[in-house]
Amino acid sequence: MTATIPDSFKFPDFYNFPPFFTIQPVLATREKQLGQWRELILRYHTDLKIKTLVLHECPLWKNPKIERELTGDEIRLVMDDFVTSGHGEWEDPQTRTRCRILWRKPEQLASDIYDWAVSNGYVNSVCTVFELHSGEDVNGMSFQGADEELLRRALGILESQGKCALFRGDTSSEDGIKFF
Amino acid sequence: FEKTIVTNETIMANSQNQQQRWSPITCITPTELSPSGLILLDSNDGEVETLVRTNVELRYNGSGPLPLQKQQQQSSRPRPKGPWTPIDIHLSIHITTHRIVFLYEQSPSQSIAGSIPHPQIHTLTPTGGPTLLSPRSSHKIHLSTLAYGDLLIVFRGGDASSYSQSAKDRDDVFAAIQKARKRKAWQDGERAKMKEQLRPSRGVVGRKVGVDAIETRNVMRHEENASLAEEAFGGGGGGGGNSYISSSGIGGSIAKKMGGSSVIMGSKMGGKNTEAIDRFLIEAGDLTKVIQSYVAKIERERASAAATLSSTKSSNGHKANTSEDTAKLVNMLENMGMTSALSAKESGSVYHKQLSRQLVDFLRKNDKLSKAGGMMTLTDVYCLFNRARATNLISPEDLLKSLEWMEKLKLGMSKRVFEESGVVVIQDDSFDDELMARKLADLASESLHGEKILGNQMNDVQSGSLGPGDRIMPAKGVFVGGITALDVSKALKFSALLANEQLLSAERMGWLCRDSTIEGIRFFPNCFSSGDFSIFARFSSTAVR
Repeated sequence: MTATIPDSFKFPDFYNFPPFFTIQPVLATREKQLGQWRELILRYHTDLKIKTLVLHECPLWKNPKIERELTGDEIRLVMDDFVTSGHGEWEDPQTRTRCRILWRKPEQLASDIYDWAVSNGYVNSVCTVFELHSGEDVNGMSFQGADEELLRRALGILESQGKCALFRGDTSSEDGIKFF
Repeated sequence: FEKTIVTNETIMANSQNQQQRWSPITCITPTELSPSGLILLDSNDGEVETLVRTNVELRYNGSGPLPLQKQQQQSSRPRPKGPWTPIDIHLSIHITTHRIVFLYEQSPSQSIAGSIPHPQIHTLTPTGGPTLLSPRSSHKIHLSTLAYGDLLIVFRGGDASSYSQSAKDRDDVFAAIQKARKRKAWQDGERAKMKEQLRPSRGVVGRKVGVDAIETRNVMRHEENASLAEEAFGGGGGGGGNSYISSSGIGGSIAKKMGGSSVIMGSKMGGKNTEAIDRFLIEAGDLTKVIQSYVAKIERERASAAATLSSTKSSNGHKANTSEDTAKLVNMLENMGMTSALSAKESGSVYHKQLSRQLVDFLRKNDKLSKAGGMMTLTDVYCLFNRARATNLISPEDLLKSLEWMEKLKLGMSKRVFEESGVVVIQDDSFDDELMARKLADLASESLHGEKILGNQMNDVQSGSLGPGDRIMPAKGVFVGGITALDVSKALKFSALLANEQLLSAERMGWLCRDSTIEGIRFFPNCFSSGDFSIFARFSSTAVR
């Protein structure tokens, strides 16, 4: 069952361009086309706050207005490119049906978190994971409302960079982070 | 890549002008060549090439240069500027029914030719050959002419410079010249005029008047033409086993047209009698005259039709009919363009070179190649060329080999292979892929704007407001634009196969992108690279259910 697209989502103009639904054989053109697909998938999922792309339920592959759609193989191609670019991650790498959308790359988030920590004086002090995604101080930050998994990934990167350390809390939300 | 001999080159230095060279070949009768270097035969007079041999020399053994004749001195032909040299080497010799032509290939795209008409020949003597004192003395022909003095033709034995070949060459050339002199084909023009005068049909006109005279004359003329064809084909009883006589080509179509005797020579073939062929060749001149009278008739009709075009409207229907017939006849006659009797046997190793020159001339005539869009598939060329030849057809291998020569001889056309599909075409050197791709991109852009008909197409069809050029929307489905190979072939007037190749090539260059559906492939202007999708915004307004 494919989800219906809410009227609120505004499709880009290229979504109505019939060749958009045929993977171009000429590589130079294909590069640009795949870039547009990445952009579309990302924007759709971030605007509507959808965390996971389920391949056979995603309504993006078909545009009834111009009666064009991507074939199964073409969808795979687009998704493989999407994942390779770092914007997505397979939850099930074997079967490849569900893809987690990394609307911000973990590296990006990591540097955002650290910058915020530094500018708000959290260095050498502790804050919880909960505070990071839902705290008052994080209004307007890129990681506000972020998926916990994502945050952990970002924090893992910071840890490997030596910029923070993680402590176990009673619940996962209460896990502490100390910034250096 | 030029294989010219050192002596010739040093004499000519870096000149392209024929007049720089001063040697026997430029002092005998100057001869015009076609754009691709073939000898222009006088087909009005029935001139036909009968033999070609290569690697011959022309020498003038008198002291000093060849004396210029009075008419040459008075004519506008300027005096050659280079130093006099008495020998021309690496010539090819072409014997025709009217003259001997010497051809010198100065560079791949430039040739010089000079000729000696057969009537000019006073005596012809074969000389040379092995003697006791000089066992490898070259084979020669001594030519004594009325205007140019004594000349010597030396045979070097073809492209392989073989001594035994040179003996054969000399003998073949000698025989061919003798035959041509015996036949005296240049006098046929006079003879034909006399014959025309003596035709009984002319006498009839004197006695009868009005429509009766015209009708009777026509009938008698038809009968005479039919009997002419019969005589040509049936003459002599037995005949050679040559493929000249068949039911195709000039003779066959005339015979059919006469509605008279359809004598196929084949049934009478037997033995190796070449006399009948010779007889046929003589009559062939008359047959071509008949064709040409038809051509003249057509011209007259056309002229009169054009003159009276502005006047009556009522006769328009009738005129349309006659012009259709004349167009058909013209087409048929146009296709019978070949006058050279070249065959693989006669011209030996230069066959493919000559063939490629003929091909280029043929494709340039009436702008055949440009009208087809600057390129033509090999199958099309093969069919058209053989149809024009009617007899002496070329084989596909011959066509392929002659293609190799086209580029080497710099004739202005060459072979091109499309990598992905393997289609082979002959392409004009001036053809520009970039230009074609741009044209296709424009066509594709236009297609996006074809919104004349949107929605109420059924009403438009019924009310008759739809013109032939209007774009029809698909019966079901959405109008999206784009072009297919069929659209292109209709718009630009060349074959769908070529149109497809051009579209693919334009796509590879980045001017177009494709939209692949079960119905086929449509091409759009490459909006991915321009980034401009504004025209597609119109779809966003309608909501999706």
